[in-house]
Amino acid sequence: MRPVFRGPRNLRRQIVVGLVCVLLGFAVVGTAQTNDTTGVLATARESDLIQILDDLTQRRTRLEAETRSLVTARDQLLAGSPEQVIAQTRARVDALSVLAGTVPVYGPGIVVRLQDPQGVLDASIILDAVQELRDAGAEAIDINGQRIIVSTWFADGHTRGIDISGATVTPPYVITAIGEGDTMAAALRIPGGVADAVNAAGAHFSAQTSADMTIDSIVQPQRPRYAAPTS
Amino acid sequence: MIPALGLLVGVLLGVVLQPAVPLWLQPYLPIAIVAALDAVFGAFRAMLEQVFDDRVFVVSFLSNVIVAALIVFLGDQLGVGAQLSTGVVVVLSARIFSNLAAIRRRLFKA
Repeated sequence: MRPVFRGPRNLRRQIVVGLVCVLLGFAVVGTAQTNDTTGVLATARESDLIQILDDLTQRRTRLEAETRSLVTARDQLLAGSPEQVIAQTRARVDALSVLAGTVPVYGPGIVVRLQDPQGVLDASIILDAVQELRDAGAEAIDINGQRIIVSTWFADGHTRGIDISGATVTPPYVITAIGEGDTMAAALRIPGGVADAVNAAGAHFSAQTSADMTIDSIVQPQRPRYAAPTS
Repeated sequence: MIPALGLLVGVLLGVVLQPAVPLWLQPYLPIAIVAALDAVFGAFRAMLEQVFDDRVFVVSFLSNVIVAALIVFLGDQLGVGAQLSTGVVVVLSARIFSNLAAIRRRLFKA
């Protein structure tokens, strides 16, 4: 079967081949065991190690920068001068006052007029308009002199008009919203949206953006009866 | 027969002696082993085709191992060691597969 492996001379050749195979098996097992026992780093070549080191260095730099900014913020809060603290607090109070509707506000926005001589608009469509304006980023909303805040509620009026947090509001409705005027106008005019609904109901929708307007109405802040801050 | 025995003896020796591969050899030995495997499969194929020649085998075994290690060494010196060893492994694997295909065709006629 194997004519090349016959005769005494070929025995020596076979032994040479066998020795080579011994070498191969030995090397295979040795390498496999080395890879088992030593870690990845020990056998990685220089360029790989540099790559790993670079990655670690970059990550450390990022984390150090984050640490610095956090420490800075903490120090400012802990050791800030009274003026700084007051300024920060005042900014926070301003933002919260706008949200809570306790201060008059001004800025760019949109004025929406809903002409409703037949009284066909109910509270739900007004609420839809308010939600649409909120979704479009309105920061302060007023309807016929009633400031709309988080706790404002809407109901259908007893005889005509609608009820906004207990105050009766009659048509025409003028919704003033401060925010990104074009965005809010687009949101109201979405096909099938508020404008379409108002017109379909038999009322008339018109909206106009304005670069500078004022909302004078405010609401009195009410102390929460049940909820208390956790911190 | 003797080559198979030799392989077995080598494996056993490795298991028993637990050799530590010297550090300077560690990047090159795996490549060298792949090269050696290429030579072994080539030899097996040649044996099945009845054209096996022990001198060719020994010379190709040694030259494969040395050239593969040299290429990787050169790559390390040039700074492209990782890429070059990948290339060497790819080429040798392709050769091993083609040898295996030939062996398979001869053994199983398929």
